[in-house]
Amino acid sequence: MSSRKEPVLVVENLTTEFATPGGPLKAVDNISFSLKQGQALGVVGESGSGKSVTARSVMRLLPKSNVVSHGGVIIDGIDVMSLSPKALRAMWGPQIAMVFQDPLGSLNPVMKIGDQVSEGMRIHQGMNKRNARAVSIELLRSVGIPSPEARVDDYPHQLSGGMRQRVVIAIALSCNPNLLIADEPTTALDVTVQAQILDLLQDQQRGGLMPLILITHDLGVVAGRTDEVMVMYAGRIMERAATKTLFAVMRHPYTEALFRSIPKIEYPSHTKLATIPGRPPDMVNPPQGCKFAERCRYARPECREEEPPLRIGIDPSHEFRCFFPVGTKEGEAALQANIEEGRLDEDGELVGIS
Amino acid sequence: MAGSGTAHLRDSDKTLLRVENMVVEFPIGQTGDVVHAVSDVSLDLIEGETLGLVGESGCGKSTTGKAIMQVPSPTSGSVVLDNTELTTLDPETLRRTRPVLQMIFQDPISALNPRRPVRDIIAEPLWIWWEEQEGRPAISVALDRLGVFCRKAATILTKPLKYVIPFGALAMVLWVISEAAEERRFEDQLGWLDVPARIVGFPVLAILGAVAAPLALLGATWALLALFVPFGVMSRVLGKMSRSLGVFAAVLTALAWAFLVWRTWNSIAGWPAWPVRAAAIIFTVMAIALLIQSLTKNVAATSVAAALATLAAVEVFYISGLDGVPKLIMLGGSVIVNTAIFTVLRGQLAARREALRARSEPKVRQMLETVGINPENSLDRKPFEFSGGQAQRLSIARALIMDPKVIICDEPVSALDVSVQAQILNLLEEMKVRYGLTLVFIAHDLAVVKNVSDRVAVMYLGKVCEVSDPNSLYEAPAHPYTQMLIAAIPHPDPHLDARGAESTGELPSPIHPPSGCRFRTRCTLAQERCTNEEPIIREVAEKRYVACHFPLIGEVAP
Amino acid sequence: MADVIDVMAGSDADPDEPEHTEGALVTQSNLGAEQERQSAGVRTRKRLGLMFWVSVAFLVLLTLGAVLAEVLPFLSEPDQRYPELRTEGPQWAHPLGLDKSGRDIFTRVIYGAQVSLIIATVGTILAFLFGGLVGLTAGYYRGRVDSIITTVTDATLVIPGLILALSLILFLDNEAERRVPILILVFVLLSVAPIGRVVRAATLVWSEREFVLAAKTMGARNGRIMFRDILPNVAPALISYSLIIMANLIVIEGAVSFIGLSVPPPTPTWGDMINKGRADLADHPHITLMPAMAMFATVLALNFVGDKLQERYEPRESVL
Repeated sequence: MSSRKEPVLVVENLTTEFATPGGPLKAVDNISFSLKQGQALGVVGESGSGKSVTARSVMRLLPKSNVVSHGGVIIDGIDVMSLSPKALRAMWGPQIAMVFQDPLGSLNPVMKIGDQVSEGMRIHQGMNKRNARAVSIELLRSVGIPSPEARVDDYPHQLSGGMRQRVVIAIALSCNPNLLIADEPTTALDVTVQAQILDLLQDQQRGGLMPLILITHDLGVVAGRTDEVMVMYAGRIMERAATKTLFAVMRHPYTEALFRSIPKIEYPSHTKLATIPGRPPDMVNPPQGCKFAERCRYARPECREEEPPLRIGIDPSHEFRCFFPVGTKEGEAALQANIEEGRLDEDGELVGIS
Repeated sequence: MAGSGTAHLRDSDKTLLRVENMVVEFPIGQTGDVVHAVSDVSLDLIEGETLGLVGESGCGKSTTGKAIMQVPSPTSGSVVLDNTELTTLDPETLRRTRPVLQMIFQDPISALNPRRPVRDIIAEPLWIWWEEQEGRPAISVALDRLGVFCRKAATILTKPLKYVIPFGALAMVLWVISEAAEERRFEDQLGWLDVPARIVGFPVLAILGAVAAPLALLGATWALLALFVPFGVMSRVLGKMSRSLGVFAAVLTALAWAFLVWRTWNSIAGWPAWPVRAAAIIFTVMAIALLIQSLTKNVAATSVAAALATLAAVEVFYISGLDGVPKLIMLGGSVIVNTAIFTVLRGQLAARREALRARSEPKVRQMLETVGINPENSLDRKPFEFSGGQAQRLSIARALIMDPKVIICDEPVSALDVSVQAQILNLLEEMKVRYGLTLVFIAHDLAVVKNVSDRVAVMYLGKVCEVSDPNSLYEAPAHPYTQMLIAAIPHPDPHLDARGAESTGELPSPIHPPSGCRFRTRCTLAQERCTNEEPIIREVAEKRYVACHFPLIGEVAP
Repeated sequence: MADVIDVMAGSDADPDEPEHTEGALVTQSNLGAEQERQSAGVRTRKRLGLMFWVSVAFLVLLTLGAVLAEVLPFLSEPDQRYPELRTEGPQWAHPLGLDKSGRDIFTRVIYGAQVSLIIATVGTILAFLFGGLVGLTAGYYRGRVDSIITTVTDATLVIPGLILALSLILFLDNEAERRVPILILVFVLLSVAPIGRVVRAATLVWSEREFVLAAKTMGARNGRIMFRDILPNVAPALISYSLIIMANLIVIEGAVSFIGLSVPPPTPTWGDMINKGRADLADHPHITLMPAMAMFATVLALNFVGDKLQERYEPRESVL
């Protein structure tokens, strides 16, 4: 285990490309971030943003053919990218574990859940069957499965969606990983169950001081449960900040647009939602300059020529890439100019794209 | 929780849709278990409003939507659309009401046929409607009638089968007796009874045999199958019947059947081959000719095709009997014939399709533009080439092309990205205003439902909990479940403590729902009354209805 | 292109979607949608390969040879004998050798192909017609209709093929006048069940899709939905399956003619040729082996082409 000060995960210049009939597709484009012990990082993005591919690249779970992934990924001082397949397998479980979106798909339907929880421990820690079973029962208890002694011999289809996800979390935690990645762990679950599962993840994380990467498309989910948030779009990190800072001071237009387009329960009925017109860009032939420019209210001609440099906000942990950030002088000026030029209508919404 | 109760239904002459006491149940497995998907739900819809139906998985909201559409009809209850009771309509009349009530689905790409171009997908409702109004090709009508006949026959054939088999067995025995009587097996033993027996007995037996023979054959067939097919399957098809009875009947009728087969083969084995062949050829030619004619309505094509089809049929039946060059000519000829028929047919069908397309194109283009899709580069594309949001727009266009009054939106934005959700929600609002629609909006996301609805009904495990306007629903929920739902919603505000949501427990099984109030197993306010008595929906505040004995607003139920 | 990333990285699903048991790391919102994206948009075009085209060429040549057998100049009559060349092995004028009666094996193989190909082709077409209809109906209507159809077709699976062939021949075709149609009938009867099952399974999957529900809510009739919406989606997989069935039928015909039940002599059939050559297997193996190899090559070619086509049309799951 690393000391508190050193980051558990360091990602440097990570790029992942897929080979497609039309050409190479850059799903993750040169991103860098780090994660300290005990920290919960939220990764927010829509489909196509590259958030899931990032997680899988970090874990090196991508298929070998048609995929190229390079960059630096260092977990607990170990360079993951240079590991042999055997060493990689040894790493999965004890070092780094992942919880996926679809609990039924993540579990082997013909294997008892107790055996599935025990599997990791028996492989990585060499435990014998009886001990592993006892530990599994305790693990199931700790993730909130009632009467674990009885349920340890159940099959996945006998459990509800929420229960299954708890089992998946138990499996992930079974080898005491140094890093837990949860990729949309609650998207397939009801909202009441979602709250329970997120509570569980939070408990497990704080209890063990284990760093957690929580990937989701739901800004609401990251708001209450993460220390830092990273917003991804088209394979790039658009904005990153401490969670409280991000929600207080959104600088990147995409983050702002995302926030504005979500219906909030507090708002009265029939509030008109601000939309982000258009679609995510084609990553096989990506546009020049800022990838969000064509859908951005603040975009000016410079945005399409070159990619904005990284800027730091008032809070040093707040980074974003934008020429005309929200709430700044340049940003306001850009907005005004766009309205005058007719790119935006009087309400400040984009014209012409549906 | 509610269930029984229609207190929240309003009396208005502008009510477009009224659902009363709807029950939808599905049998599951072979043990007679039933999933109570929707249990006594009532809703109403006034012209121009959006009713939001919200709940988590298993609450029955999607099932309600589909039952309203009659796909399939609910197990019981009434659905009245514009003064027409839908549940009792025969299929033909129901089909004619379809344009008025349309539906939009959850998975946008799945809701479009992957093998059709967009122009056909959007135009299809028009084509169906025109076909209904202007008549369909004869072959289509004929096949339909055949299908209906087959299904009716199947129902008749299988329903009383548990009686048919024993009767069939009996009938076979009688048949055997009549055969024996015909051969006068017992002539010698009967003595003076011989003549009366023959006069009376034989005709009776013969008639009985003739009537019973089809029954017998039927019963025999099924009984014979029973020998091969697992008993569970057979009893499911035939209805409950005891194993021993089944086996007994099976053996008996199998024997009788063997007898029958032997006799039959003996009788026709002597027939000459050529009448059979001729009949087969004539039949084939007629069938093909009819087919072509009804597909093409073109006499010239028909006669050419029919004449050449003769050769094609001959090929199959005679090829083994010919040698040498005639055989080659036959083969070659039939290849040419088949290709010719195929080309002709294809051409005719293509021409028909082009005519339909041309007729519907203006409306299709207009519809596409209305929903925000550029017709120029989308008409010939297939669904997979579109993103989720665009595909949903296509679905909306398809639903709107028939000019409906009511649209049921079944989770239309759940499968879409957040930023696209807003686009589609705005589009729906726009369409609603522009075309004067009335919507039923089904979703699990309370924030989304609140945003679009004028009235919200919360459902849990097949029952309606609470009906109210969206704003007061959020500000002061009346039902404990609503409160639990609201508390569980993650707020995009980092300063709020995300924990403390009082969601406890798991959803009970819809096969064995809890007695009394179905929510009581997870409700912190549950008392003994909730176990014994099902709450009826009632008004607890101005325009607020709840089904709870101890609601958060209003008084304890009397 | 966002779809591609969706496909590869697992896109957002929603709570009300039924669960799918895919590989542990794959998350998809809908297998059907996945199918389209894979098969149409993102297909990494696999080359069909040399063996594919070789097989196709072989089949085309064989068929042409069979069709044109009577007029091909280099073939002799199937019954023409060269008594002085009896049982001789392959040579220039007779590439596959001669049999015990001095007949040219190459010619007889080509003529034998006629019988095999006709029975296999017509049998396959008819079997798919009926099997397809049966499967579509069962899969679409479900419930009682499905139970009945499945029960009946499953019962036919029990019937032993050769016995059925034997009994039908005995009762209907004692004089061997219409042996080909009878055999075709037998094969169709036996094939309807397996084909019906495959079609039924595919129909079950496709009829769950929402566009079928959409068609119903539009007021489309069941027949229209089955043939316009479901069948075009089910058909591609069947096209490749049909070649495999055809190969099967050739083998079965070979077996039937081996025991003498197929078209009687003097018409040459592969199975009959194999049978006749058994006695001389030790000394003159080519008499049996040549027709056997012809059958083998045909079946292999058909299977290969069928496999390749099946690969092409089958949905591929992306494992991430």
